[in-house]
Amino acid sequence: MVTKPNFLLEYAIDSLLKTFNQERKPVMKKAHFFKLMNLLDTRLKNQGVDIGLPGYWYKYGFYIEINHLNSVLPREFNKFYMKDDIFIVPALNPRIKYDILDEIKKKIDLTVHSLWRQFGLKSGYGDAVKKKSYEINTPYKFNSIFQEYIGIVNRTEQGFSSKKEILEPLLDNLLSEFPDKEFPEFYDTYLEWDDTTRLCLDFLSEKKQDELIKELTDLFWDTFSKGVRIRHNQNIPDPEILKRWKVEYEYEIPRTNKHIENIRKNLLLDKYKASGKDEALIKQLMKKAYEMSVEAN
Amino acid sequence: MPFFLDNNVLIGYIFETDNWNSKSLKVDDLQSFTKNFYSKDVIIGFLNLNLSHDKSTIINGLRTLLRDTESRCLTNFQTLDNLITFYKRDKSYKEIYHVFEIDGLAQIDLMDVEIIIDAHHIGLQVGELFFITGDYLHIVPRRDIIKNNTSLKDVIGLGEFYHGRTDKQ
Repeated sequence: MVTKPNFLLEYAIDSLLKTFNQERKPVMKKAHFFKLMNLLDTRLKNQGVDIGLPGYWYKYGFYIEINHLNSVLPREFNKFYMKDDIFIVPALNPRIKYDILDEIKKKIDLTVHSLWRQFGLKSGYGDAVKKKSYEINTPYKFNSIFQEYIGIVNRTEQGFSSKKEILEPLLDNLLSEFPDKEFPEFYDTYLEWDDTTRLCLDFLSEKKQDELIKELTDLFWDTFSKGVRIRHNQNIPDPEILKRWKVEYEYEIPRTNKHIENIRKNLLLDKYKASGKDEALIKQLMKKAYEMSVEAN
Repeated sequence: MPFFLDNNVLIGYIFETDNWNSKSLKVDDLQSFTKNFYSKDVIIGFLNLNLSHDKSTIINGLRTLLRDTESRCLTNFQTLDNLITFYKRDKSYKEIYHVFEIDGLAQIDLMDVEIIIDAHHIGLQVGELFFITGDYLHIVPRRDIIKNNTSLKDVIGLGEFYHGRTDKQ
């Protein structure tokens, strides 16, 4: 049972950090710790143990705010477990008595050891942990594909294929996976983002594409992730935080939409070359747009 | 010659509604697929003109159709934006409002009265101003009352204006 302060969570963190980093070296980055904790939490829940881990799905997977840990743990996380604000290390003076049933302790320790056997001391374990965390817990397949998309957008080295050749199939996958039923308020913005990115790929030189596609990616992913965390979070210590997230998300949607619209407008006016086909249909579509505009007003 | 353009003229220019071609083809099986689309007859028309069974070819064709339409609207908007001047009216002109209150237009459509007063306000500043409108229901039939009670030189229905005085594409 989760208590306040949460000794169960403290025990799980101590067990994990002690196992993965006995010598207290600066080796485990925050992001890797978050993903390991996500896996530990999931595996313990499968055994009927809820450690009350606070966290949410955000831009790069499962995320834990240090402030939230500070709120729920008996001792402040940033003072006892952090080094140089980057690395997570075992606490200098671990607690001797946690007041937790031995049976629970055993389950936690065994689960931590299974994680250690799977990921400990292996090169690139951070990426492997992240991959596993996405594999098991990603809220939407869309999020997993988007991680791949971000990786390619941020890649600086030149390959044999063009960005267009690599990104277009990913954009197609994203298009078929966007969770439109869960995010009806953001669907139009997403579609606009999708086609604006494709416009960049179709009409800009590779050199000019990179910067704009990165800007569009950040713009879209920042806001969409704000929506995801509202729907996929756990044990957030204060309900006011959720209210604040909601306000922030609702504020960001029209701003993001406007920003994408401006980029799109410039591309269509300055770079786009009309096909010159289907003139009658274009007129029909304009008529529809007109009617919709009149109906809306 | 200065013109005051009614909203419907601006919107009509941007969306090219006067040239609307309403000939749409009807295909039963496609109608069920497109029933949720506002513009289903456009999609059916597109599919009839582009007889491909390849999904990506159809999607790319539709994408091009949307981009062509949007870019045309934007270009039209840009053309207008470069030609017209926006004013903000700072007077109420109650006497003109009163005329249209007696006439009944204020009760039928208050926004139309506001637009006439907007045009009058600008007419006082530029002189010899022609009011161009596509509203044949409320504005064009009131040509005389508008001419006699406002600063406007004349009211011209968009149909007459379009055919006789512009070289719009």
